[in-house]
Amino acid sequence: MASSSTFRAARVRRLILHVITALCVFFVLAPLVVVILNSFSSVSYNKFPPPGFSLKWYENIFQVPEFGNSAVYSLVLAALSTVLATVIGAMASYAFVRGRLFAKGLISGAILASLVVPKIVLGVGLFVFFAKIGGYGQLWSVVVSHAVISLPFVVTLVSAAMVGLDRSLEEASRDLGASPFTTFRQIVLPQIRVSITVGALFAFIVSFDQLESTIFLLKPGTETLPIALFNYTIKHQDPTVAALSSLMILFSVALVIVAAVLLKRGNAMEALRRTQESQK
Amino acid sequence: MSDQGQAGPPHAEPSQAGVPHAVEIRGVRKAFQGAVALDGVSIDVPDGSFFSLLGPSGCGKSTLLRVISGFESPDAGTLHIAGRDMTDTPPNRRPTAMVFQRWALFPHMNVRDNVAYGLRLRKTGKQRIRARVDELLALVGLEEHSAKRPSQLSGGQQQRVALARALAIEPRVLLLDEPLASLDLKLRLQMQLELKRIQREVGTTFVFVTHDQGEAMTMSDAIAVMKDGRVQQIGSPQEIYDEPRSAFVADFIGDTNLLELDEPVRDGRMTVGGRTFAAPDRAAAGGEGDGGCKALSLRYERVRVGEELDCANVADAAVEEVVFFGGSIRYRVRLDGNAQELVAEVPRTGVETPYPIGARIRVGWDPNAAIALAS
Ligand SMILES: Nc1ncnc2c1ncn2[C@@H]1O[C@H](COP(=O)(O)OP(=O)(O)O)[C@@H](O)[C@H]1O
Ligand SMILES: [Mg+2]
Repeated sequence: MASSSTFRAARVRRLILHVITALCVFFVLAPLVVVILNSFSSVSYNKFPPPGFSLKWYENIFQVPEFGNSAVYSLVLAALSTVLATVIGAMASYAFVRGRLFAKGLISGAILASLVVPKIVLGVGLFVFFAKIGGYGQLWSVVVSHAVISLPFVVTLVSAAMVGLDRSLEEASRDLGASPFTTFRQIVLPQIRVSITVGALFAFIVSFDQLESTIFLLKPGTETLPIALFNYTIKHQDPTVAALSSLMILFSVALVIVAAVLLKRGNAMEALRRTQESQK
Repeated sequence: MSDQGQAGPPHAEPSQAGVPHAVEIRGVRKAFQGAVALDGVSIDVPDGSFFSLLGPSGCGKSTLLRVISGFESPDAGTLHIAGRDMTDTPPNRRPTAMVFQRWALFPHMNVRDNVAYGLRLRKTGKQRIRARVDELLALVGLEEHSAKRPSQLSGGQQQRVALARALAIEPRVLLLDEPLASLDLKLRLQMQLELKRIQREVGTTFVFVTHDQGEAMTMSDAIAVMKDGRVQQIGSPQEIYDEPRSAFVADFIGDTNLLELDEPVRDGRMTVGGRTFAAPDRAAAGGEGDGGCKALSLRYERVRVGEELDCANVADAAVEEVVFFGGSIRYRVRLDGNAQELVAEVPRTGVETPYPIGARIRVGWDPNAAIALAS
């Protein structure tokens, strides 16, 4: 009897777990589903579910010149900040994992801080900073800002990969005559390539989706895609925004899938190597 | 810094005939967060020799090797390689190459690229690299595996790749950190011979770290025995075996009986556990370079067992333990009338009946078979 009641308790617990999980998934996905369904709406006012199907809002995207210009700007911005964040992030990870660094905890804390600071606050801070040093409204200042925001993603992923590396491989390389830089390029990099690629993809997505911090950094007239969307919604309430958002969701999801596949393959290769080694 | 402390060996003479020692270590100290790993080490490694660093785990062998290769910088002391001061030279500018304990092969490169790594860094021509790698793969017997990844090789094969990779850059000194420790016994014995052959063929100085005294004995031209970050003794395998200077060395290298003297040797006589025996000539002369010895080492195989013994030191004893070793038998016996134990290792002739436990026998040894120990 006691055992049947524990069974029942376990079943109830599992049921609660499933319900909570389902609710979480629902609340994350529901807004996206609403947006995507609305993007195919036949009417211009907000009605859910939409009364009919049409593709006219997708066509309308191309009638708004701000979207095209800001998309180009966003892509350039994301590409540049990704390069910056990835290069700095990979080097910083190497220093954190291998280096004898002064105040290591403080520096890595500072790099990760942008994860927890609200982006609006960060945006205001960056605005004041760049206004002071004369970088306000310049592309490079936005690139730097986005790199700062993406850096934690790169550092977390890459240093996790680096912790698992066998240090004696790097020593073997130095021993055979390689400089520290050559050792990083020839020995370390090939082993963490997957993590760096995935980190770069995340950095790209983070930059491409960034709204709150960017708002303060751009002069009126230059827009990123999220800002163009934001401005458009202020003036118009038609589902063009939903259509464009759906495309952006599709783009981000595609990047995440690529990242996941890469990571999985990386893990699979790693696991394969480990098992082969353990069989000896 | 002055040179070494009291444990330093008297091996600091300049190299003969103008050929610099492959490695000259002088008074090297190294501590990790206060824990002393090397405590004033001085060693000369003759050019072209197979030199072993032997000692129990944790005695500082790896640390010393890492000082030579440049991965650790000594807190004090100097290091010369081939006559040049390398104390502060980074590892990539030293003419040394290391075979790591777990080999450290590059997992993302095949065997050929692993071996070619050091040559590529030196901007050697493609043709030359190819020829040299082929030559090395032949030397270690891996011609057929050149396209494989390290993960596709057995332990012994990976070991050979590591060796070929290190030899490729033609180092003045090859450093090997217990490279055989993770191989099984049979493979280990085979690789010992192989390493020795390769060392003879290439003529490079090998500094070989091991905690296995048998390995050190069979392979080395010279051995430095280490303990607690200090060098205990340096010499040829035979010197170290036959003339250990301390109880530690005597015991670590092969099996030995320790005879503690009740009082200093007088008139060529010594007392052990209340009984008097003839002392070895060396001990009678006052020990080797210090005031009287307090203990002797007597190798198991130098103790004789039987009814009629013609050696000067003879005693009655009782057998307490018998152990078969295939080719020999070990008896642990206790001398009559005192607490002194001896172990005797006797070769088997195949016809004798071993003494049973409790049997009363006579044991004896030639006085000069016992070695006076300095400490
Ligand atoms: N990087 C290190 N940090 C702290 N202690 C170390 C380090 N390397 C070695 N040691 C210590 O130094 C001593 C000698 O170590 P090691 O040279 O590895 O000995 P062996 O190779 O003879 O086993 C040991 O007590 C070890 O714990
Ligand atoms: Mg060691």
